[in-house]
Amino acid sequence: MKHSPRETMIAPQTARPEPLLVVRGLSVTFATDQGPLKALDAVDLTLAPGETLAVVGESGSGKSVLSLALMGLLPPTAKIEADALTFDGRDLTGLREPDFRTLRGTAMSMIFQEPATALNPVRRIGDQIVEAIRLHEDIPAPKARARAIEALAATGIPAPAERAGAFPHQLSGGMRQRALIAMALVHRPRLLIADEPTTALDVTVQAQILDLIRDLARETGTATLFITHDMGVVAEMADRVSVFYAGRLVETAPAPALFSSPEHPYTVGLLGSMPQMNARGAPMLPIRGTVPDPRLMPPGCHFHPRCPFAAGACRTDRPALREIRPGQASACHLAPLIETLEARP
Amino acid sequence: MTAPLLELRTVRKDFALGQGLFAKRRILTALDGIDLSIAPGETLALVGESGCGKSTLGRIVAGLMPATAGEILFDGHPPARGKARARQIQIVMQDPFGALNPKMSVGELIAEPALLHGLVTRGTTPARVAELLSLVGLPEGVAPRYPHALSGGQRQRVAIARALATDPKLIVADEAVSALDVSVQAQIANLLKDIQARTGVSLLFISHGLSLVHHISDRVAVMYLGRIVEDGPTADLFARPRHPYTRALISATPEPVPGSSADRMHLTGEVPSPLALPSGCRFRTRCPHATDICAEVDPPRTAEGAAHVACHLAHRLPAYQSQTPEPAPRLQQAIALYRAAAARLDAA
Repeated sequence: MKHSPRETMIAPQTARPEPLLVVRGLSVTFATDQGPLKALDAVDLTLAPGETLAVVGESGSGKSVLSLALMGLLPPTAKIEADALTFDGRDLTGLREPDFRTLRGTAMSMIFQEPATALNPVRRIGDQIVEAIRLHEDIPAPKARARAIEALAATGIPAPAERAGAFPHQLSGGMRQRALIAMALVHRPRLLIADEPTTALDVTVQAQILDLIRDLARETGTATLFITHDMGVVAEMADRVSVFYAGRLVETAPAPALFSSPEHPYTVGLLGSMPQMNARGAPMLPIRGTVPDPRLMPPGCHFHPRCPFAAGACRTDRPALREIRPGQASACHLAPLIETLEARP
Repeated sequence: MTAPLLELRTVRKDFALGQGLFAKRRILTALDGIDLSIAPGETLALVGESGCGKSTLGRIVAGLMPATAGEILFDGHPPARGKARARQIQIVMQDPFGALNPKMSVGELIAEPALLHGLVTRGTTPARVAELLSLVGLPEGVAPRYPHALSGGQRQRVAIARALATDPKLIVADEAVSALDVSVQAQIANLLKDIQARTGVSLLFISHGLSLVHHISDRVAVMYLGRIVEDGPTADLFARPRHPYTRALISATPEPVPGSSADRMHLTGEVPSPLALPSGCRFRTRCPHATDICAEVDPPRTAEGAAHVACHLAHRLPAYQSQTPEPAPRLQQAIALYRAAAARLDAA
């Protein structure tokens, strides 16, 4: 097993419940015609029961590969390595597909960006939810049907008994996402993985769906892994945030700390490139350059070719994830940023 | 006020649905009574949610489809047709991959419009391609490469270079940055503003999101179900939105400050089908302020200084409280350091 460089472990906080999900040193490598492609490079993650962790990153960050790895949905060609990968105390690394399938249906479930592709287009919404219920629970069909309609009602779908008879194409994008959420939560999972669930929705409908996910998760005590590229959505949803760049975890912090005092230049760049952080009429602050080709990752810190602060060690040594403040860790040689930069000549 | 470059008067667009042998023929009115103008060198943003008609309007302006009724004036005259119009008005779409022929190199793609319009000769083409590449911030080395070898941001730069090849007076940017990563969106937004400052081109910036619109546009028109419900100068519209729908759109946009969504204004329900428009005001089924008159009378568009609003209750709404919170001081400090360091690198 390869170990990621780690000088200080993040101190486990006292009086915290046992984590539901523990990921340590997770790497995922795909074999391609042009050689191995490392989509995730020794990343760490913990999630407490009932907590919402936002995983933020742009294209190529590895955030979607992470969700597929946790759900056991990666193709067999993917090579998965991990120092630890446990869910509810169970080791997921050696888990066989039939056991994973049971876990996926009941204890963890997932919602996606485009609900249309996650629903069967030729079957009625209600029938699909009934099937999801009866796959893992031995209850009679009428009872399952009543549960399905109840689940639809809980997501705020008007006239749920009638909508249960609709086909996916007869519903709007927002209604389809509600139906998918109903299906995902029907077994009261301990973990919900939400992969860009509102990206395809209009902003007023997005606001409704975000509220719905937050309220239902709170009611059922479900922990949420919320994958997104939108820092506005993160601010709204997350208790804690993990920022990914080019397959690596670069910063993790409680949401208030991340937004008040980011400690990785990439996090600063992400926040700085939002229109809200730029004076009206003045040029925006973009992140220079583009995400590196995953087959030709730069040495040292993956962000150094785009980082305006990069110096010496950034180009040669992989920075370890170091705790900067309680609960906040950054994989940057220069953290704490402001102190280091102001001390520069 | 300068004469507008583009003017739309009561433009309407109908689509006929169900033209099959046995299907009942129905008419979907995608645009209804659109009045709009764009000044030379101005950026007008057209915002609204899916199905509001903003892309249809963009296509009509670009000459990709005809209007059913109404008047369109370009430089004071009905716009030319076909090639002559395409030379003056160009469009950049959301998906640059779908808009670029995968079998043509970047150089060929950029040269094509200029050759098509007879603006360059074989001899002057390489110089023009080099000029356009530099205008959109691409190195000359990408000319022999193919679209698949470029990043999304680079492909969008190629699409913009193609649009600029004919020296147009107006560019319609239809969700031109929506598919790009946030950090790249900022690059392309800067590029568009930079090109505008250098060439004086007008921009019709069509977007479903408000954040970038607030930042780069001079004026904003908000659309709902085929109508413009409010338009006005950008700073004024965001500081004092007069239409409940504009307020809801601003309020629903997530801000990158934790805790800022607490007193968000909520819209219930979804946009009604354009085939079953509500009576009176089209927004009334979702409007938290709607009263009897809203169901009976279609509100007219009335002038409010430099702005227009179509709402019976515009003067009776509670005063608007802007909820945009300030970023934390330490974050602002970190961004300032980042900006200064990036500027030093760009200068070097």
